[in-house]
Amino acid sequence: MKIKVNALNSPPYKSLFYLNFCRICKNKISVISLAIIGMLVLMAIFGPIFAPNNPFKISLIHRLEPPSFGYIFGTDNLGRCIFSRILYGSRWTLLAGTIAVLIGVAFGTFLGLLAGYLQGWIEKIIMIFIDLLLSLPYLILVVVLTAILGPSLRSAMIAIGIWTIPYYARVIRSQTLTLKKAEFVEAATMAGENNISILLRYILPNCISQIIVLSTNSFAQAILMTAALGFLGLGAQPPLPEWGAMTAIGKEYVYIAPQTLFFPAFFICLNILAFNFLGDGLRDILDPRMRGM
Amino acid sequence: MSKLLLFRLVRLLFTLFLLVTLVFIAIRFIPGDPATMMLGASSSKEVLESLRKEFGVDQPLYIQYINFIKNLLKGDLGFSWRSRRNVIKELGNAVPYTLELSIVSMIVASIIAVFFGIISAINQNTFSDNIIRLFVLMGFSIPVFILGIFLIYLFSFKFGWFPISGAGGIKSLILPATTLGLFMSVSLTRLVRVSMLDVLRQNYVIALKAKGLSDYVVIYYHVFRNALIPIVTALGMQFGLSLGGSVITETVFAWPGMGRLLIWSINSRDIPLVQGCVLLFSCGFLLVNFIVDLIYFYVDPRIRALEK
Amino acid sequence: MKNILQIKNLKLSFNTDNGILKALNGINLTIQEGDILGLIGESGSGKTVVALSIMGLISIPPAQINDGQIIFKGKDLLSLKKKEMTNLRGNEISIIFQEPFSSLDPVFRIGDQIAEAIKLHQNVNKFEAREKAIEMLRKINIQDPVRVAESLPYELSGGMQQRAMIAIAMSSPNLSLLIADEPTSSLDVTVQKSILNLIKGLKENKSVNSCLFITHDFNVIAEVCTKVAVIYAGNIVETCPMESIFTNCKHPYTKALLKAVPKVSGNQAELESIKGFFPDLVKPPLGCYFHPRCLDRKYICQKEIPKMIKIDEGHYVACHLFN
Repeated sequence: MKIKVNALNSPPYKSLFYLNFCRICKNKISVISLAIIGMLVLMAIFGPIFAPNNPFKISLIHRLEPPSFGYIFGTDNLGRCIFSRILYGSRWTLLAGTIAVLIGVAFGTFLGLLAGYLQGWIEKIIMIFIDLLLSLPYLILVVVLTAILGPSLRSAMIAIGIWTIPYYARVIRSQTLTLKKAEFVEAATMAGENNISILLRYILPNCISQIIVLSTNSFAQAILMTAALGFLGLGAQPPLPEWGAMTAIGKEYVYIAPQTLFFPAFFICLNILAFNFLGDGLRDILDPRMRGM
Repeated sequence: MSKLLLFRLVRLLFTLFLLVTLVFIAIRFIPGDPATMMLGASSSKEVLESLRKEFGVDQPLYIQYINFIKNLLKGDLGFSWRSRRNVIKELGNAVPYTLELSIVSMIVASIIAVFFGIISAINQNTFSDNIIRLFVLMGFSIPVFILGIFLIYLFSFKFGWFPISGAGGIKSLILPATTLGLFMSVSLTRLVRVSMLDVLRQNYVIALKAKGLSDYVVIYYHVFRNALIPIVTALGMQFGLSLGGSVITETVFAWPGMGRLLIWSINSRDIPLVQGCVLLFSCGFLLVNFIVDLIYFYVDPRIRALEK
Repeated sequence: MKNILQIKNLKLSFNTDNGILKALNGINLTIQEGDILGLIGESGSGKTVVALSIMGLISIPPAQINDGQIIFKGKDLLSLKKKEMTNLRGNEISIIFQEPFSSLDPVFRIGDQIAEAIKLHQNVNKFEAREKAIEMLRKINIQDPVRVAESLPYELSGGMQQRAMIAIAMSSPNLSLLIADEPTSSLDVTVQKSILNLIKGLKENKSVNSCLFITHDFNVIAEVCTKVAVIYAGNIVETCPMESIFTNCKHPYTKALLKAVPKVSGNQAELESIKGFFPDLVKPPLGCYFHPRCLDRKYICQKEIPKMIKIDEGHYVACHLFN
């Protein structure tokens, strides 16, 4: 009598995408962060349309007024509406972050790929360059670069972008070195594919998850540093309503008019927080190896 | 072993040299004519010219570079264009303040990080761990200057416990050191936690418990000692963080250290002073990292095994 | 003969992401004074789980003890308080692990680690403990005990590290049970023999009363053990004296295991293996866990889990073929 045995069934197949999707949804904090970032983007795009007052309009009668119906967040030391300034300032914040990250991603990835793939003396030169960039403690490089380029928001963005390059380069380089030894890359080389094709088709796609995780964190850092530079007077120059510059004003007047400090500081922190949380959430999903954090 | 040391030393000197050259070139690009900045554009041409001659900016770049290197090797960094004082002297006045701030804040950061990092690790995934991790994440999101201003508002203004700014005695050190210390403790706490978790996963932790050692001894003696190794390396990075953070903290609290000097000299286009500050910051940072690397080499027996 | 250790119907499971994994499904083991019980089974059969459960080193949140008792010298270890269990460890029961390198603290010297154990279990001060540690190393046939005591784990060979581990395990004069979890599996064959001789010698000179020896290698069983228990997927399927296991084993799994051992002499064309796959312990087969792979299975095998039946003196089998 033939006995049917069904002990060798395998579990139902769940695709990787489905599992990741479940994780994203379970991660409520990531969702909230996305919502906050979405709000920032909306503020940047539509803010100026909804701003109740002209952020540059000086009105000495209404100096340092607490929040009221006419001025939702109150006014600063020159009578300008803080709420409108925050809305306008969101554009600069978003712009600064985007440009800094773009510069970092573009140049950093390029250098990293080059260093990891070609190795040899090219790699050594690139690594020396990266070591130099990293040899300056974190804010100092940015401060000096901004000074060289002339204090302005534009210089700040470029300086921060340059600062992020070594981080991308290092990560991409180590990823490239690992991937280079993978069998599918060896196979492609032997099949006669040229180097650029291999880089673009095999190595780069495998680096994308690292780039994404690094980018969210770089974005957060960029917002932070833009604000810091604005505060120091080296970044956004008055009368630009950049949030960091607004906190500089706030510092002077916090004792008599805390709203000048509170609102820009709150928005700076909120957005950095959102990007950091998002970065953590994405890292949980995309890079299981780093889940220990 | 000393061959390795020699190699590293050579590499350090090479990097320093490159750095110095790079700093020289980069700073020469700072826009703005120093003479005009100091005396105003309406001054007479001859006066401006003579000032420029005094500063040496009328010479072609490569001659300036040669003079610069010559002077550097002699230990002379020139004179501040603003204050006419020796750059070395200016730096010398500022360095003790920055060192004081850095060291105290690193101590504060270490205490906070070790305390919370260990609690977080041994109670992994419980309520206390999650709260600590949440605070760490939030801590990453608060820029130093906002933290500083907030602390001033709270403790100097509202409570009046500490002076609002300036240096003078222990009382004025507490707020800036707390600010910088809190700022640095964030990444350090995370590191302590990860390092401890890493060690707790190892097989020898079970073997140690199997010996009959109490949990207390296993964690605070064996596990912590092993976890300390990567933390010590990170101290080099922490020092860099403290230098960078000091730039902002000193500005917020008007603390007369190197950070404030740097910002001030940039704003006044005082090239020799900027140069001196940047050189000091970067060379100091490189040296400290080099020393930490050495310490790490001696502290971790496994690294010695790998290098063999 | 006194019972040193008696495991009664131990059921242990792990809470995993995929479900509840039944690691131990009613384990029954007895170790009497003077026994060296060999526990043999494949990887994943639960051998190490048994060892760690006796020591109380299984972390309880993912793991759960669903039933059973572990009676050591009359006391149920599962009902002991944490402090009492800690006192027993290393003192009356000790364990040596498979990978000696990953069982030693990498930043402390060997001598210090042994001395730490000695100081814990004997009433001596720091210096005496150090002396005794070196003495112990000499007793285990280490040529230069002082040099070894000053070394760090990574500086020693695998065999030396395992000897150091044995020295740590033997640091208590009250030792009644030594658990050896595949102590020679990661060592090469020549070193294996010397370690096994060492363990045999420990029993002979009464340093330890009894031993639970976990392995997957029948040759080791033949060298060292007095009794054998075969474990499959968290179930004990057969226990018998050492002499019977090779000549008179009854359970189909034991027979298949023995057949799978490659022969040195004779013409063997192919390696024999057991057909089928190791069962999924989250959804184990109904009835006897081995029945999907058993060539002699009957209808009842997929309905009921077989109970242990006495075949002979000291020889028990859990199989429906012998009902």
